[in-house]
Amino acid sequence: MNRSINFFISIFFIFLISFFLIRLAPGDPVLLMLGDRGNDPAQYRIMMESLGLNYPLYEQLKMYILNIFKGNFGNSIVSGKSIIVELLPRWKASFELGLIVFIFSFFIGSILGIYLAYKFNSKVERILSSSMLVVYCIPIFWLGLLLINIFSLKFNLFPVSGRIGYEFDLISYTGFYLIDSLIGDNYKNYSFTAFFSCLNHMVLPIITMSIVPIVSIAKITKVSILEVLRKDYILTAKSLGMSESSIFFKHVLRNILVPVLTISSLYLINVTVAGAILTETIFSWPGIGRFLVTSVLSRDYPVIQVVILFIGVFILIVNLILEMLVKIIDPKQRVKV
Amino acid sequence: MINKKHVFIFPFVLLGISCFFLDPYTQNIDKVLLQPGLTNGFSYIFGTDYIGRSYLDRLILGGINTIGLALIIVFTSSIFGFFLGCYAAIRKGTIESFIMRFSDILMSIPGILLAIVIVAIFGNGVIELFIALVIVLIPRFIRFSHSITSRINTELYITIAKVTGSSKIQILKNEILPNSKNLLMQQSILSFSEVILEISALGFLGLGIPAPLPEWGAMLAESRNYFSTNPYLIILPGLCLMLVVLFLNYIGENLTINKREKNAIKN
Repeated sequence: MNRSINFFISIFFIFLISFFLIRLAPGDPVLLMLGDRGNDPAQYRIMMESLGLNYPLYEQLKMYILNIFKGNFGNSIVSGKSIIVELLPRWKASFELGLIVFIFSFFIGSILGIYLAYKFNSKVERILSSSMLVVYCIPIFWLGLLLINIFSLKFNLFPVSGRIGYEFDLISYTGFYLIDSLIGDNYKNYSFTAFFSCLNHMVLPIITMSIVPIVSIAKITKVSILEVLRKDYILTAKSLGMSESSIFFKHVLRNILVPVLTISSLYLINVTVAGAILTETIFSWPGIGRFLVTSVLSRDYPVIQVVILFIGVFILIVNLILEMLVKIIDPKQRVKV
Repeated sequence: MINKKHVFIFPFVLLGISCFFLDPYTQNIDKVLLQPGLTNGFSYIFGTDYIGRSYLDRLILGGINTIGLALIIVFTSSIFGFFLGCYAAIRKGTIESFIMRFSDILMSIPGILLAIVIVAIFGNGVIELFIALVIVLIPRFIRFSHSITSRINTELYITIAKVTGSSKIQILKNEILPNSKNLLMQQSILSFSEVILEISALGFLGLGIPAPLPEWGAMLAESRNYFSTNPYLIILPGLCLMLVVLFLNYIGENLTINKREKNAIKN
């Protein structure tokens, strides 16, 4: 109950932020959009009405929220197209990349963490841990530039930018290129080449985006395993003669699964969204992060509004779903005290 | 706290003093994209950038800009965040839940996204960047000090202090502050490194410290096109950034924290 009230307050807050975005900007928002000099008063009035600025503030807020629930997000100033039409393909591009990074870094990170915990205090562990600290401190935009220059320009292994090679002209079924390239006419025309081109374009962005989450998740996993290994029931299991592997699967894994899953998934969402903004800019990935940056640079306020709204609500919804999932997985939370 | 091992901060202080003799703005058209080396004199030891400005001077001043701004940001937000968090934990009731809920909501948005939004509202500039990152950081400090304070608040010595008639401000000054200052220090240093990364990430996106002022992220962005011919243009600023962040993380993780404080953070 408390949870859902919190959720709706947060959603409302995100609405407020995106609503006040135009209104808080210094100067006249209409002039900001039309340009400062030589304005036609008639055009000024039209613009004002199209933005709804001639109504009182609470009316504007009401209209804004109603419009959003009707699916009317307004038009971009730069391109003049409907924002939702521009947003959806970019959203899918980001989602495709983000989901793969999410899964990839979760698995690699937790496996690395388990390895480090079982090798604790050995030479390998110390070297790996200290090199992980170094890796964690690499700024990801710098890492992206270095990767492009080493692997794309020097060795010509991976492409520099984009989602797919220019020679492929995919018909969009779902908007996710990895799926699109395997179904329907696309598969008939290109067989697996389009799919591999797609994967090839993804390698560098995935590495760039997942390096920080991998290190953090490995750390979380390592610490929580070490904590569990010190518990009395592990000692009991050992004295009963259980093998290392069955102790691991029956006791350690079950006990660390929930905390690691909660912390790392909540953390991963934030890191993936933040990483997407930088990574997409570097690799010219046509996603929502790059869309946000370009529209901030060109002061395209309606687009910024909608993008913030989308990302904010998305994060909140995912957080809510994850919390509910954890409640289902974790037996400790099923019984209400 | 910081011990004798960290004396190697002094070269950096010397670098800081040297900023009065540096010149990051003069453009020498005849010295565009000089390779690093000693042949052109000491001030061109790291070569020049694409319009012939000394890269050494820009690197040093870029570092001072970034680190200085980050220091002010962390200082401001840790003080405000600490007092708001303590206030919430001591006062309890609606004020507490209001402050905590507000910081929860702000924390659910990724830091860099929030900063970009604020920069988008107020425009580019040092003060705007300052406001943006303070808003990003404050909720973290609020939550942090709130959790520490409400933990300490249940300890016996707080009860004793209350019984002996200490006021709330006295309790804050004599009990809570001494018991949480090392943890606060550690949190500040770790956030310091994060803020440095965020300032340079925003600079890289073109939303950070405005153009003629040198800044590592912006330097990376403006020399992207010269990488294949002049790799030092990219390698040097990134390396500086990484070393500073690494150094701060190293100090932050090796601060000595006593057992009671460790228990406070664990729960």
